[in-house]
Amino acid sequence: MSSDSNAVLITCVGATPIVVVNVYAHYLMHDELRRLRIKYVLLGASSNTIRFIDSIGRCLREVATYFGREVPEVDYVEVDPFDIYDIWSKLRKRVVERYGDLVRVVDVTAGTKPMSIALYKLATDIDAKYVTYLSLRSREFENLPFTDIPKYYSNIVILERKV
Amino acid sequence: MIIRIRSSDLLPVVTYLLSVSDEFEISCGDESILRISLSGQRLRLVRSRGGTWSWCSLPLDVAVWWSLHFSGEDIAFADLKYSFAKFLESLYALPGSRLPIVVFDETALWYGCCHSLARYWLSVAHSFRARIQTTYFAIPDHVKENLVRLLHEHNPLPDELQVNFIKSLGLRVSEYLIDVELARTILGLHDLLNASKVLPITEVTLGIGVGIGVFSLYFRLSRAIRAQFGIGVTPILITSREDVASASDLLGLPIQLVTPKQIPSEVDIGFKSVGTVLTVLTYLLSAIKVRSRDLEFVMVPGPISRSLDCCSDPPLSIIVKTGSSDYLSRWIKLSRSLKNWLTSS
Repeated sequence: MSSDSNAVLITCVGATPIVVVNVYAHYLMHDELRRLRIKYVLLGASSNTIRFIDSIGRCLREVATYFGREVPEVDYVEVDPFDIYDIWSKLRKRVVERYGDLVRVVDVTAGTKPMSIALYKLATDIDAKYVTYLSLRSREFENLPFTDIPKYYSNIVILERKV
Repeated sequence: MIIRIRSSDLLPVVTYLLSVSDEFEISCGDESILRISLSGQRLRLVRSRGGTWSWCSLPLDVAVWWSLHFSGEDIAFADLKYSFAKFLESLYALPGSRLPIVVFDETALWYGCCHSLARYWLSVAHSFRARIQTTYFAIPDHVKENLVRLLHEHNPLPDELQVNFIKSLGLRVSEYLIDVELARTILGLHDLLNASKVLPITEVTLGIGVGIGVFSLYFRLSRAIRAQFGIGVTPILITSREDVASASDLLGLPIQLVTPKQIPSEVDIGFKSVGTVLTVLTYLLSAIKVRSRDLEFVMVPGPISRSLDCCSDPPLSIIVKTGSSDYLSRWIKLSRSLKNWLTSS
């Protein structure tokens, strides 16, 4: 993979929105994933979690700045967090319309279980280059920013890798 | 470059240090070297002093527990209540055991729960008043004021129970500080005992030790008091079996303990976590110089009691000297910023 692969990171927003920020940070710190140039972060958000979008954008900006990376643009689609078809179809439509020429990467960590399942299905459909999951060894860390989580306790797992 | 950090910044500092390297060294003021390394999910502390080595191994989650819970003044009151009830039951069940006098040193009151602990202790003392005649709180003035206010607001003192405040005995968690403080501590206790002539004191139950570091200090203090005054002192340890085993190894002596069976595991974790994190943090606070592969900075501790008091913003500074110090500063800033967002959203 070239170091200038423009990419869109697709994930969802759940009750603990910091997860989105932590996932993005782990992408920037990971030996392989850091080579992606994440230009966009596309979020599936419920009516309850849309209010987090602006704040997530600000946090992503801070994280990107800290790591000296390009600040990604945040885009979102409102979805029903418990309807797999709704989540999958709306995110898929947005990806096809706007991000067809980018490398697509999907993270299934955040959000409801239907969101994770829909994201996995989406990843297959849109030929995602990576499917990832941010693994935590203790629930104590669920609501902490990555800066406060010792590295032993969290790592990003590449579930699928398109060669 | 000076970075002023708050108590809530200590977790990202430790996290950062461990992300820079799995092992870093602290050159302490007494010319000993403390090597902190990460092994699995435990922190291993190895200390070299005068050609001898000592070590202990701590769970890494302590800092997290501390960060999550230490900022509140009234944590886990129900857990504490249960824990102490069990604790006292087990203590009284021991043949010949008694608590004629109980001294809470500020060390024992630091553990993130001083107000809850003190309030509950008084209610326990009330119910056991035939056997517990006097409670002494040896705490700093700024804690005392809060404590008195809280006690009167929430838990009026029983008339028959004597509650006294005395000057802090000056116990410190840091091992090498105890050498400096020991004389003052013994003098403080001497005054205390003289002031309590009405009691036929032959035995003192001193404080509630939490964690190996604290317990070893109490143990040493006990020996010194016994030698100085001929008074038997029973240090009490509330901790896990694992820590007790380590403490036994460390001290080479059997230790009377309250076992995890007698303390609910979730409470035990809390006590253990706070105790061990204080051990770690005190090492950090008392450190003069910190070195790692690409980082060197000097930590300037404020008075430890102020630094660790949950009511105040600690005056702890880090003077960054060389290396990638700027990253640490920015890391702390980023952590603060993200946490601000978390609390506001």
